[in-house]
Amino acid sequence: MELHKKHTIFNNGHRRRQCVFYVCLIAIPLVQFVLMYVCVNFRSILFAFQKYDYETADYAFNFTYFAQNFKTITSELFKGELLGRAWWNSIKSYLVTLLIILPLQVFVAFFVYKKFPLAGYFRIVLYLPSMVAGMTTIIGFKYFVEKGLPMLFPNIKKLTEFGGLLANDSTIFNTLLFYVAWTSLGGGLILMTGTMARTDKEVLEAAHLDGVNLWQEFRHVIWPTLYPVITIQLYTGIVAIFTGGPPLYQFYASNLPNEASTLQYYFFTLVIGSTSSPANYPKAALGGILFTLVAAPIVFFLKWVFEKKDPNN
Amino acid sequence: MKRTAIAHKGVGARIVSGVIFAVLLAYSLTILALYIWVLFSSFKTRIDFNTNIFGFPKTFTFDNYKNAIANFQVPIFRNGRMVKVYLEELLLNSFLYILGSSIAATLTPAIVAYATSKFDFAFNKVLDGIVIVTMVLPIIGAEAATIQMTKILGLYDRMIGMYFMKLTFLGFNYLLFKSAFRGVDKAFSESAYIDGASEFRVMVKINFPMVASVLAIVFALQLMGFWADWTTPLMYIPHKPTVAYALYELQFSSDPLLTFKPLQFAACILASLPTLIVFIVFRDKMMGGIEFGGIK
Repeated sequence: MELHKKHTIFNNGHRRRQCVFYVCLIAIPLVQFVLMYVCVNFRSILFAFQKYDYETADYAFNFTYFAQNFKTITSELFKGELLGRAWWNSIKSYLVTLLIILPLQVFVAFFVYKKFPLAGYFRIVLYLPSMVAGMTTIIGFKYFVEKGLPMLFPNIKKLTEFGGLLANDSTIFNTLLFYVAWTSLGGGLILMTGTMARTDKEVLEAAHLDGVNLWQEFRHVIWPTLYPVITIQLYTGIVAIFTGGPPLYQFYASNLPNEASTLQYYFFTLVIGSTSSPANYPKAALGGILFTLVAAPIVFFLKWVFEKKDPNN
Repeated sequence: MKRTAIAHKGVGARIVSGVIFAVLLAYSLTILALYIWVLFSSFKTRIDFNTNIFGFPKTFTFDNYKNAIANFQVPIFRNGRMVKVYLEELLLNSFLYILGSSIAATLTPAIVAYATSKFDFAFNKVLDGIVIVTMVLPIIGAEAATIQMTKILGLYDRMIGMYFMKLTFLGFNYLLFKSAFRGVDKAFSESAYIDGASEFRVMVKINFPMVASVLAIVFALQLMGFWADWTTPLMYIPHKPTVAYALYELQFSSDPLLTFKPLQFAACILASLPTLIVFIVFRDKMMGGIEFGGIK
């Protein structure tokens, strides 16, 4: 009996041609990945062992610089007043996104998916903040808060004291959190309604025949379809504690009061804007590496938990 | 006859639905109100705006639009001195940036997804693994190293460098395309092979047209995203400012003409037109939604 021989690039011309074509397709993206991801991250690690030399305008390498950079960044991260505030603001922003914005995005998407009255109108209006030039919303919101609100509510002292909500150190961050929540509710519409539309029609019809209410339909029929999308956002969202938050740089450039800072803003302004300097690069890179080391196990643990709990399994 | 979701529900469900509807309507009106206010304000004269912030314009003027077009500029350092970059150059930079970047950022994940979904090679697992790991665990704070790397590679401050940076297959779009290509019936490709079509022809003439709607949605979203993106130009092409970057700088401008809010609003509305046009063109496809299949 002749055994079925597996086609390989060594014994089959068609397979060889396929392999050449395959390599052509992936070659450039792979080179890009090596240069802009692998090498960039290697460069980050290298930065941790470097110090900027102002005389030569170049980076000097020495293993002892790691200890120096580590000491600088950890003392700033855990002792400095600025970053103490930044930690709290970053966590607060993450919790608002997780506990308020994401559930409301799902809620809005379900509403639109169910084709409630004016669903078409909601689709477009709620997507407007993503559609118009980003600065339109920021400049409009800024002016409205600074001038419009005090005119509309002249008796509310909070709107005008210390220069208004966006100038008062104690109200800036919460005002910007509100801005994020206010403009983000339509943000998940395209992805979430598209995913909800994938729900098995037969299952949906069977559920309707059983007389399910809206909540039961969402909980038992729609939720399993949506589960992978939401959980990916949940566990990758952990990283947002270090990389996310309100658009502080868009509103204030490098002039944000310390009281409203986040970790993301702090690290961004180390390398960009009037407070940036090449001398900050080693500190910023090492901070990023430390954050990644903290976030990695949490992310993988959450991924494991969510996969265990997947209702589709 | 089309029926809405609440048409056949009981009284309790109708009340709940009615409350949800009212809240959502009120919320949507606050968003709409901001943009309508910005639009109306952009047609106001200085006196009208200062004395009648929220009212309807007493007389409509297009002066703010004319002034925005004529005077919209951003100052940058070039060759050791401060120069002003005006709208023509901003538009050219934006056009070059968004077109090249959108093509690169759409086609790259599509091509790699095609390769891994249509050809059975062991390396597919490596590519899938790279995408999943980098999605789950993006490296934090790589800006400093990226800036340094682009300088080393000669990509910094060059448009071609931006295109190279966007030739990435990492991210959600890879999964989207992979899911789309897996849905294409293999019979089409096999018929083409029997007719003597090359691998390239099968890819371009058979498979890519089959996922045209996904390609169109991703391309449209990329166009809109890059048009609004001001951080990348700020960080990597500081001497080639785009409209989005100039718009960002506009709010901090000290030029008396440009600090006038209705002029800023007019500039914002003009800058929003391209994304609104893209949205109108691709509206049905985009609002039809994109599906997430994904791989684990």
